[in-house]
Amino acid sequence: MCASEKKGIVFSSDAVVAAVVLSLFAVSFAFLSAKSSQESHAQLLLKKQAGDMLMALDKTGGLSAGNLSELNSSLAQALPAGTGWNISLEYYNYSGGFMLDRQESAASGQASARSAVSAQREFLSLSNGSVRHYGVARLMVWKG
Amino acid sequence: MIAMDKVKSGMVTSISVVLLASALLALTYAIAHYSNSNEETASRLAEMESVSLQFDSAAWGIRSLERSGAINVSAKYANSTTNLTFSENMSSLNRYSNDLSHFSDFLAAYSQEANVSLDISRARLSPMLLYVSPQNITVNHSAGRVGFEPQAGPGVLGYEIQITVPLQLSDSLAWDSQANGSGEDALPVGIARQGSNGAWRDNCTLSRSSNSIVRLVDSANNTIATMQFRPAAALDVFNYNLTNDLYISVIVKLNGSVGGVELGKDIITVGRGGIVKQGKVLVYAG
Repeated sequence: MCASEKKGIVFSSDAVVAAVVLSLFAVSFAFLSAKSSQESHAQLLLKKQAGDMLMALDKTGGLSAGNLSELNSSLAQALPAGTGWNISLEYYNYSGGFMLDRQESAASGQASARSAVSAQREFLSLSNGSVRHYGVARLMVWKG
Repeated sequence: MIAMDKVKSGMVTSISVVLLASALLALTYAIAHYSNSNEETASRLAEMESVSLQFDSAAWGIRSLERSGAINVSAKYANSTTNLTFSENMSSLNRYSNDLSHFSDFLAAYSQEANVSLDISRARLSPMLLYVSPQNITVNHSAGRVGFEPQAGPGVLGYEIQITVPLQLSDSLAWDSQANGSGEDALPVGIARQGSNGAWRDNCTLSRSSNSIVRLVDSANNTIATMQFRPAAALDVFNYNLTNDLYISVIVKLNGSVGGVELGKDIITVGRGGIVKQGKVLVYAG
């Protein structure tokens, strides 16, 4: 084998190693990028905002009152600009078991299925010292 | 000589390529590991958030029930002493117990996560217990009875009891036994009552270490409520008038300031995966 042939084999091996490493790197990078766009901390933050909103609405009496225009107004004020929402409320009576008494819902627009997250909170509606309704509030939020 | 130099140069290039490739692979592995741990952290945070929200939902519900009529606790601090007031309608404790039991069932049936477990069973145990810290006093509620039990030390300086009942009351209290105290044994007590026919008030200084029993009676001499003072400055109020509303407000005069009044101990447990949050409901925070 002459010197130029040996040199060619070495260069070819270098090129193959470089190509394999580059391919691995490119595939890993693409995989991680795709993963980070699917489940980012932004989703977690959005979910926390939804939970905090429900907590605030419960503690200020908004959920038990069930006034949808007031709830919409509170959500519009409190959620960051560009955030859409859909809130649904269920009110149950107790009579040997829990019976659905009424159901309400309101939305700011069409949910973006890709980025929508939801939170739920159970609450009580009280009147004259006793429970009027046992309620469930579900809030779905998404970035527009 | 020149050919030898070229071989050396080629080897250096090859080694450099291999080293660079190894470094890139190591970097890829590190990024993948970091990304994976980030993902795990996000997922763990989401679980913790879910547990925390569920806990808050249960705690707020119980606190709302407490405040809606079962019992109201407030405090005033002045001159190194605290007047801690417990106000309640003694006839409505059964309603509270039923509402709490239904709320517990509701949470079990409708809570968001199928694998979130709630255990507020200790909140609906009878008697309902409140703990006053740091004075270490238990306030014990059961149907027709509320008891104040100092666990240790001279935490309780005196009692002020106010009873309101929509009945014709006798203008005097009926003492079954009265042990007066003085000096370090003195326990100042004020008993005010309001009926449909007027309002009265008596002050006395009882013994901290002896029994005294006094009854609130109506105009026909029927017993409406009994107040029993026991050793170590303990007090039990018994309500025999379960058909009418009986509003009672007991001001416990305490040494020092109150840190908090909590319902039960660790009455709520929320678990999800390996995360468990267990805690109490603060009825009053100092």
